[in-house]
Amino acid sequence: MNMTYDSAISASVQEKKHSIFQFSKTFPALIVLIAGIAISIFIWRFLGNQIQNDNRVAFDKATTSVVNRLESGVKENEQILSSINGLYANSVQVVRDMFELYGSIPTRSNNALLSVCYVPFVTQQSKEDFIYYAKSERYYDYAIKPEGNRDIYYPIEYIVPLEKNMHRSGFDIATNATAMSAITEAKKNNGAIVASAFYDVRPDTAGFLMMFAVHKEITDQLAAQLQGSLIDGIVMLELNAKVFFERCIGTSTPGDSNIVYSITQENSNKHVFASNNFTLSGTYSPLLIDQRKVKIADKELTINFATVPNFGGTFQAYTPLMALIGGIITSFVAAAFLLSVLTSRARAEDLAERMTRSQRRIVDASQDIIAVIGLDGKWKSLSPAVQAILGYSQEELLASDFGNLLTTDAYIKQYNGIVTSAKDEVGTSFEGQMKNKKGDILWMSWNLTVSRTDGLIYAIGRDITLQKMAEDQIKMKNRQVQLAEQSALEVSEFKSQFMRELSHGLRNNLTGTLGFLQLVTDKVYDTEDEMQSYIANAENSSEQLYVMVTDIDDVTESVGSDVAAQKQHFQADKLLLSLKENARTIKDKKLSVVQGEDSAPATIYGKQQLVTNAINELIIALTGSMNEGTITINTRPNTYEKVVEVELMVTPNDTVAEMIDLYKKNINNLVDIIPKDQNEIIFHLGLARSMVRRCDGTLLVESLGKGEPNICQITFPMGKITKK
Amino acid sequence: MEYLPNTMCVIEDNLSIRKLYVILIKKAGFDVKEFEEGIAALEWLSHNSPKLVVCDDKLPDTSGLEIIPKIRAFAHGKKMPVIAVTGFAQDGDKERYLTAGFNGYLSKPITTSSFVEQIIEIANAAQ
Repeated sequence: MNMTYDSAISASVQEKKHSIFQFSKTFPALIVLIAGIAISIFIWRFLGNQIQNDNRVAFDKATTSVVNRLESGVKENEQILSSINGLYANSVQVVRDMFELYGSIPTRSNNALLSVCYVPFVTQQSKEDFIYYAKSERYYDYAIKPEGNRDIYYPIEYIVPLEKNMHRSGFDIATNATAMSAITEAKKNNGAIVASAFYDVRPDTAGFLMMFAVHKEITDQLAAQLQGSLIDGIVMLELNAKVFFERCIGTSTPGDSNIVYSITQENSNKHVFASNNFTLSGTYSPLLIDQRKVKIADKELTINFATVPNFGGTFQAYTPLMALIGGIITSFVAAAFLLSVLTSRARAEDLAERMTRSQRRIVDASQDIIAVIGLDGKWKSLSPAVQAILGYSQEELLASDFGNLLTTDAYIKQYNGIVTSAKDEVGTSFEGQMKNKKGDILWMSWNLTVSRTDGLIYAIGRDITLQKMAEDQIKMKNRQVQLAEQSALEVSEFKSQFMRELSHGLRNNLTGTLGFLQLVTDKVYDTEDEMQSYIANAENSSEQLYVMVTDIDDVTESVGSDVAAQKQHFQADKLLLSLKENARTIKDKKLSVVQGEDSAPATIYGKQQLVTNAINELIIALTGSMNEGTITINTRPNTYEKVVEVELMVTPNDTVAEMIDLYKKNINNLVDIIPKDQNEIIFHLGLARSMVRRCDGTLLVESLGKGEPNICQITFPMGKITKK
Repeated sequence: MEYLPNTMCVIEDNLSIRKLYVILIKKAGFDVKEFEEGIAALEWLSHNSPKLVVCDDKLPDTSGLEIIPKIRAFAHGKKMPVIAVTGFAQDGDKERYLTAGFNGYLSKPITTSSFVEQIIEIANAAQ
């Protein structure tokens, strides 16, 4: 299937996305999401319950407070009755003053208490006696109200406070069914306190009665027969219902603001009291409701409680939901963040993996050797290119020494020197010859980065054999060209010199010939003999001219001079001094230059720089690749041949000897044997030879055989010793 | 030091040419002191002051270019007319000799009819 570059990229991106969002990589985010939602629900439920419990506690506290206060109010009135009951129990007869004494204190302190009364049981038969007795108790206008004949009467006899209740004195409470019902119950309960139902105890006042019956002092047998019907009277409290409730529970406590309540009496839905905020009831759905029972003596009141609207506050009501929503949002955010982190890490891992894979491919595909070498010189890792370049497999080289492949100790020394002196983490380079598995010699260029922190050397090696061969070829060609140029220069100088000398010779000889012939022509003579001598001189000059023309080679060689301005006379020992200071081979190597014992003062005539260069080239040639040795120079004048002989004797070297032989055999064809030249020995000999000849000198190079010194003998034109 | 106003000094290694110079100078009425080598001429010149010196460049023991600074080194040699007569006649040669200290330059071959007049003229100009 053909796949375009774009489709390949697109497929790669899809694969990458799929890879990044794999469940195996992103499941922690899902777990965080589920856990976050679960925790949110738990918090929601927990907070809800907690708030509900708190609300319940607050609600219960408020309702209990109301109930307690109400019960406390009931108890207060029961204690009043109990106190009076004690009075009747301990007294044979309770008279008005005693009753008023006991009853006045509670009526002054309890504003809900309308009155404390004693209501005697009176029959039709005892009605008149009772009225008589009441009047004797200083109720002078006492009469039973309402008037009329009835079988039994329960008229109020004693009443406290009398001033406020004068109109109630003598009122027969048996005329009220509710009151009578309570009296009947009191009679049955044998002195226990009972209460009436709520009713209008006064024409404008709703209230209720609390009472107990005062029984006659009779035997138990009789009491049993009469079934408790024989009583002296009733002690009762008339209570204003509204004031009673307000006194008990009207004063608000902090908890009251949280609740709404109403109080109904037994078997009735009519509210006998309600909280001030009861008007809200029915307008909302209360959060909590409760029903509590409170007894007033034998009567039971029902209190219906409900929470006020916004009980606990709106914020509190919504806190669990907010916690749930917040938790879920947080869970999603956390999961998204984690997913982002996981996918980022996955992307980073994916990228790193791709990069690692790419780098591995680059390393594997590299045609250079990419290697890691320990600071001890052992191979640590190698790229596959080592097989192609050096012929060894990676396994064969690992743990072996880098220096084992170098061809000479000099390279090992050079490599160690570079590694030792290299700056940390700064690249450096090393070039050297290495042997491959077949034993062939390769030129390798190594870029080395020494990391002392890692204890490793990161190395990239490239086979530069072909490059080196090309460079060598170029160098060889350059040497050939230089040699040819030197020869051409030499020839050119010879030609110029020859032409100059030829011109000089012709002009000189023509001067004689022409001069004397002009004298003859101009008749500048006095005698025939004189004329003949002129002619003879002209012939002599012509003869010299002829000799010069026929022996022109001799003329060329015999002239041996140059343009005077470029030549000079200089002491041969200056040559030695110049060599010690300037010879480049001596500077770089441990070569010593000494003056031989046969040396004698001599003056050379020639171009000093050219002579120095020639000697320098000879030293380079004769020392070859030697790093140390001695060069002995002897200079001496040869007055017979008018030359200065310079002899160089150099420490034995086989390669130099071999090259000298080759040089001598090919003395007229040096350019062609340059490819066979080793260490540029023939090249430098050739240059030196040309330079010496340009100085009108001669050069003779000899090798005395293996292990013997190599000798070079040069002659330069002798100069004149300057007299000071 | 002896002043010789009627004597001309010739330094020339070529015998025929030297003879020619001597003939021409004597026929002009001057005495001639001739030398084949430069060193001997210098020795003579160190004690004598001729009217002028005719000097070849290429000599067996030295050269005209080496002689001229030595002549100028003499106390009486600073204004001594010294004329180079040489076979070196390539471009730049004349300037080279004049720069070296010669008062005049004549290339070989010479013209015999005017040679003495030419060197006298150069000598007069120098003085």
